[in-house]
Amino acid sequence: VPGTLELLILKTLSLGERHGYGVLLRLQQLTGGALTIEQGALYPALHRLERQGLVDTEWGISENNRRAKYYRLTAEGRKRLREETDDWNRVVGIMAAALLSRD
Amino acid sequence: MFKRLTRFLAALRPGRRRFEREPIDELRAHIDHRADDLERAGLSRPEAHRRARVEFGAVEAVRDQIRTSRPLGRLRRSAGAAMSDLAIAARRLRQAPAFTVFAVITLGLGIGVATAAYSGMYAFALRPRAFDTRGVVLLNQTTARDPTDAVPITWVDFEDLRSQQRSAPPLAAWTGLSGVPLTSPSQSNLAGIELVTGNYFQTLGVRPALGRMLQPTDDIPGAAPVAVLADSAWRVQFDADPDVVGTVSRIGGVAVEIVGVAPPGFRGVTSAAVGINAAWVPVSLGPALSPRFESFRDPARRAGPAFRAFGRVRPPATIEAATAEVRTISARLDTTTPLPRYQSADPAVAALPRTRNWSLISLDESSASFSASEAGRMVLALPVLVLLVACTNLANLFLSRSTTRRQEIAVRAALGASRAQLVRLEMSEAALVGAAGGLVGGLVAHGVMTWAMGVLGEPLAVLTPQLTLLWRIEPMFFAATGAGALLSMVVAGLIPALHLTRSHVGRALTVDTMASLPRWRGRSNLIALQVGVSVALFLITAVSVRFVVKPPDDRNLVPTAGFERLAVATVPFGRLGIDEARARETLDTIVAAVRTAPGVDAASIVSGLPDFRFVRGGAAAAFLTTPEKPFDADPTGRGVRAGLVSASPDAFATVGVPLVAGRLFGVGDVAGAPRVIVLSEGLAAQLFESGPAVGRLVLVSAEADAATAAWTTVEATVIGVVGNVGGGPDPWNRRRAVWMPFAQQYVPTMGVFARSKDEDARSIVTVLSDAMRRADPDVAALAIGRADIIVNGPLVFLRFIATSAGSLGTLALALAMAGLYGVLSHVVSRRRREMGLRIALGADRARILRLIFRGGFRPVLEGIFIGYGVAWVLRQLVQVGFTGSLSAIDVAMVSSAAVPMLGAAAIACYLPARRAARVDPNVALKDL
Repeated sequence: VPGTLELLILKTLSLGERHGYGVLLRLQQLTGGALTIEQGALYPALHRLERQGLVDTEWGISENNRRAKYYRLTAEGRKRLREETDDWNRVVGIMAAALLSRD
Repeated sequence: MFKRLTRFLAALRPGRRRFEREPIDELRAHIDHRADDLERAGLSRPEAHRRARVEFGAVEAVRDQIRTSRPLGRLRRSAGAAMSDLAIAARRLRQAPAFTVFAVITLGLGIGVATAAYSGMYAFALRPRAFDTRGVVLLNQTTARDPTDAVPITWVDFEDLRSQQRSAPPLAAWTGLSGVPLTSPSQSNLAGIELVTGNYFQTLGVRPALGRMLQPTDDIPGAAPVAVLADSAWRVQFDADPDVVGTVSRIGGVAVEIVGVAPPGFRGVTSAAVGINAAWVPVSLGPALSPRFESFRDPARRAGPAFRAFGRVRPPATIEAATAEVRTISARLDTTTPLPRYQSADPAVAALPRTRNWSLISLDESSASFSASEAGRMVLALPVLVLLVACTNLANLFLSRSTTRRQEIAVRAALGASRAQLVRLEMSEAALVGAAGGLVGGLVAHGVMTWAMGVLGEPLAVLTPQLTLLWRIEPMFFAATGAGALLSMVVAGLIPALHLTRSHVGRALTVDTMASLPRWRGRSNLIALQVGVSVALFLITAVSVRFVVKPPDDRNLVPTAGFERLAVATVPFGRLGIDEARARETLDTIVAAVRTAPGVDAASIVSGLPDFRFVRGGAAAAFLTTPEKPFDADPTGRGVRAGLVSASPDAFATVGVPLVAGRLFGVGDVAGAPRVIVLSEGLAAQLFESGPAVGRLVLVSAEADAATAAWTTVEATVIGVVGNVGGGPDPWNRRRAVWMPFAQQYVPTMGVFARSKDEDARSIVTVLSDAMRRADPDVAALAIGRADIIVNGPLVFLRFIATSAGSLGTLALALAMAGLYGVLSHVVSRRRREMGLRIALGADRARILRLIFRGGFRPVLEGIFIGYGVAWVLRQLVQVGFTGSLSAIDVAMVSSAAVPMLGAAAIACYLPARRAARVDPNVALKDL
């Protein structure tokens, strides 16, 4: 579903700042490995979010003692995550109701 | 919003390097982290790293994806591709230097010449008129004698028309006077002025640059005399004085108040060039300015100055309705007050009926509008024709070049180039050639302008001192011609590019050998087309040149050896209202001042030389005869015509005329003493044939006063014979000068001649004008400048027009020849393999040459015939719109186009043919 990756990334980052690889690991953890995420697809998505001003970036040192670029949600990003989550839930609810209805 | 902006700027600032590095670093970090995890899971470091990379996929692809999603990424990517396209195109152009140089030069010449020509025309005649011309109509009176000519009307007719008019438009009128002395605080000049009705400026809607324009109350008889200055006169003569409004100047001797200055560019209703008119005054001032206005309001007379009437038709009124009314009035006037018959010795002309036959025509469509006049349309068309020839050449060059590219394009397509990419590549080449051609075009335009200004600047300044021309390359013409040329290239480059990229890759590759064999028929059609278009354009150009210019007879140019050292100022004392006594005093003062000035060798009083016939009021005319053959007995009635030169005794030395026999004027030849004359050799020979002239009596009938046309006859003794002025093989009038002592003979137009010490009298022209101004502020020069320029100025101008139009035609032909050579030799050299094959099959060299020549000449001949046919049809079409007769396309024209074309074709065939005939069949077959 278009936009889901971005939504998931926002969710991941809502728990704290992370570098790209960390986002990937956390995503796999969150989805329980149910979704396979193309490693290459992650970065264009991250950069899109950065451009929209939903995340801030900063270069830092990772737990492995490597230079890495860290992503952090901005206030706008938080707001967007809330809205998108609400939207998502609404859509899911509507879809579920529609698909489950017996007529 | 602000944050976004700073982020955006931050993304720009670090520059390209960081822009490219950062995503890569980040992706590497990702792979390293993954490798770390894999290593921890038990893999070796190299293996872990390898696995991490494989899992991630192509780093560059991801980077590109990130980059193109950035705001500038897309732009950068296409810009980068365009740059590399340009680089490839540049490389390919370098590989074909002949093609490139030729294309660039063709383009440059086409653009440059057309731009310069139009910029020049713009300076002279095309500049907008500084008022809204919409709805402006001119009243035309056409005559039975010349139905195309617009004839002016008399004031009384204008008044009658105005009073009988019941509907729009309200008419205004003007008439012009030339050579009117206009005096400013700093100088006097002879200027053109227009006398206009009070509603003139209101009708045109011209707003003043300073002060106010003329208004109806100014034109009431008895109103205070006022004038509006032209912008050029205000700048040149009044030093652009911002406080000029309210000051009093004199125009034609009348004190007038300057009430305003017209906006820049305003030059009157029909005047073509800026600066011809220096001021506008009310018609009521006419009688004070010119004797022609004497009783011009008298209804019984219907004569006097010629007025042009005009008005502005505003919707809902229409030109047709207004014309209908004007026609009715004109017919009514023809019955009540018919025009006088023509006074002509030709009975056919005298018998012609004279009716007013008035109509209203739109100013924009009238012949007063340069672009609507017939000669104007032809002149306007000329540079376009040259440009068209250049464009045809370019188009053909690109066309023939890209047809040889099949293979290259096929290979590129096979390697994955998209059609758009291939087309873009072709376009890049056109863009590069276009840019270089534009540059060359700019240089050419600049060169042509500089040259034209050098040739014309001085004659123009001498002829019309107040003419202010803004000579510069007008960007709009540069842009327009450049766009036209570029369009032709792009279209020519695009068509084959599209065509070729449409072809199937596999087929183009596999049928390589077939494709590389020339498809001669198609190419020869191309050549025929090229020749046809070029020949047609050249013939039309030739017809236009003949229509526009009748080349001036070079024999009229005066041999001016020594004239470069002469500075001349002639003053029309008669017209300035200065009498003989004051004129003599003024001339003496000027000569005394000039003689002692530094740089001046000698200065004398001379009325003008017989050569000065082009300058208004040059040497006066005189008729001579001997007492044995008095005037009445002479079959021509008036004797031998000669130029009358009134001169001080030292004038012969100043002008540089040698004494041949007898003596020159002496101190004794004063007023009251016996009349003496000196004859030029040519005149003496004509009067006395071989006999001696000195001591003989001669009757001289001189035009004493040009204004009254009164002739007086005096009897004088020939005291000497001098050389002919100018020398050389001369037309009639230059050899015939009768010199009279200034003390004994006054002419209303007199002048001062000064000889400079150095080779160029330009330096002392200002000495002359300063002395003149100081001697008498009312003195205005009729002509002032270097003698040779004054003598030959107008001819230089005419010759310039003739040569430049002629060289446009020649340029068109040269371009066409070069274009033909380029395309034909290219095509012929493509047949090398074919020739090799033929030689291998047993053809001898003569046969090969014959084959190539036959193949090469056929399309050229076809093209010449096509061109002739097209030109003939075009000429007929153009003729329909022209009342003047265009010259027919004659044998000389056709051959002047055909012979060079065939010559170019011969060379284009022979050189490659010789090479082809020498081809070693083995090599040719191997190449196959």
